[in-house]
Amino acid sequence: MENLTFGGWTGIGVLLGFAVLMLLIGYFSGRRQPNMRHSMKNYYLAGGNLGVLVLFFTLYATQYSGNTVIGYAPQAYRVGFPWWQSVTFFTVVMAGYLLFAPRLYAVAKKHSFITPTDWVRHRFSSPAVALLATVLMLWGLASYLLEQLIAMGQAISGLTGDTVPYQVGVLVFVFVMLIYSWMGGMRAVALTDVMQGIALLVGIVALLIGGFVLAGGSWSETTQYLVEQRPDAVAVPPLEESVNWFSMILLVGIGIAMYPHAIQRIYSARSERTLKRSLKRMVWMPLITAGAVFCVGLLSTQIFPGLSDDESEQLVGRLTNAVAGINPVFYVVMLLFVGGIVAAIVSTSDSALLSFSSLVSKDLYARYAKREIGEHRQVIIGKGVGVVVVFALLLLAWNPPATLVEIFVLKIELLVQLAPAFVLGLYWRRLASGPVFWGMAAGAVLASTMTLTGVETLYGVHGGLIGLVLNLAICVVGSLLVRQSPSEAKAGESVAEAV
Amino acid sequence: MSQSAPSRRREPIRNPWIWIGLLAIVLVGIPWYLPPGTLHPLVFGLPVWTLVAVASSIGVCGFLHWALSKHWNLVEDAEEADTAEASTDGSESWRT
Repeated sequence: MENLTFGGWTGIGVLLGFAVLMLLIGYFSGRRQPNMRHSMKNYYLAGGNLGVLVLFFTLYATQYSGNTVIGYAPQAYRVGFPWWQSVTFFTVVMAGYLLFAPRLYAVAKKHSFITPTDWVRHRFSSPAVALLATVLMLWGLASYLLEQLIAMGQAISGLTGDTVPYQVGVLVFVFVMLIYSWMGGMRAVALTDVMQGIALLVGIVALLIGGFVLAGGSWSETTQYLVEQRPDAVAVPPLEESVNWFSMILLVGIGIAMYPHAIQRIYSARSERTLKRSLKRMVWMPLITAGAVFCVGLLSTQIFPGLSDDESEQLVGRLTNAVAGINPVFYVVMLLFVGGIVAAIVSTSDSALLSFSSLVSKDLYARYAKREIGEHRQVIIGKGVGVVVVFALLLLAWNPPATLVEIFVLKIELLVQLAPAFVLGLYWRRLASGPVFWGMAAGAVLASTMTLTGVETLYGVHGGLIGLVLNLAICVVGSLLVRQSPSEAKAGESVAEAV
Repeated sequence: MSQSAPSRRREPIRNPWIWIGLLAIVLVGIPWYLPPGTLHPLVFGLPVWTLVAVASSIGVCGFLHWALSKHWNLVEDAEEADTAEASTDGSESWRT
């Protein structure tokens, strides 16, 4: 993000304020749960007792981060009106949840699942499938965390006008994140999500209003400007782009719902009613969040015409500066907004890190250790894993890739390969573990190969989606051909009985 | 958790019309059916295809809200009954 003229020590003050607030939330939520450190369910799922408001905000923080603003506004600037697809694919994420969340919630409550792998192990009774699913989830989460750490550093150095160097800023907030997560576990993470979500929402709306003021207060003028200067940004896109649009909707709609930390939020709901009410609020958030960011990006084409691709990456910083200059009220709101962006990035990172820790401690360490590991010990191991992972990723984050959105697609393409194990596994008793393993592996290899060789799409269809189709075909044909083991058949029956 | 009555159980995945309806609304929002390069007409300051895409997105939001409200009830009744029972005998007080 471009350095802000109002940054410097004022920016440092705002950031410190947010940091202190997060630590206080962690401290008090830890005090309210004295036995949290001895129970995996309490530490990683807040006891499975999150209410509507907190669950809504923690789902919101899982789906949207500061990155949604920093990365998507420039995308709208570059692409123009066809970037409305970002609103559609965020909306369809809720349909992704509808595919599996109702039944998974019921099964998870009955069998006290902690991690997404618990479901895979329960359903398929196959160490190979469980291990592959865990590795894919860890890969996706690590990629996601890396992206957040890069964005965090850029936002912090931008807000403080480089008074706080990139590395120092990230280190401070990583320590804050680790400390409050350690003190309060999932409950602290979810409660900080409430604070961070409100800051982000208020800031986006203020940025949109400021953008309108700067663009002259008329949407028609922006469109007219684009019609004259960049007609491609207004015109109906070519057919291949429309296919790409639909592909993106399917890929992101299913992929985001498969985030391990999103699945753990389904487990964390106090009740089915609570989960439904939270999701009903979430349904409308794409219009308010991605929709507002889309408008901000398009208005900027008129406010800052002619930016190159690299320059457009700094769009939100430029606009925040300009909006802050309108009057003292906007100045204060923009200061809080950029602090809110940093906080929102932290809130997204903490959820992913907590999920990563739970997967390593429960599904790798406790599973493959040669002796019995108690829950208290697993929680400690999880905390240690969090520290090691976050610092390993920081070493990578010091040399950030140029465009944030490109790495976003990478993780989704892998996580979406989990969908057959969750969706088909919940409803089709005959689904067998062997085909699930080979389907997941083939889908992941195909999607990764396409991405790594630079062939990200085929006739507009994303590699991740092509991998998913191959994955599904192997699952279905393979399951029709092979005979299930008695334990698999029993697991399939038990899912039907759970509801 | 006690089992809820089978007649009241509803799962969105079991109703094909939800998915057909959703697909239709999403497909209408993507301008694949219009000639590429079309700019006009502009309505309310937006190209008409974008206006349709915005309407489609609002439609998807409303449709999913309805599906969540009316077509999902697996264990809610049983949970509510359990909660009512627990609060009657005082064991609900630990909940936050």
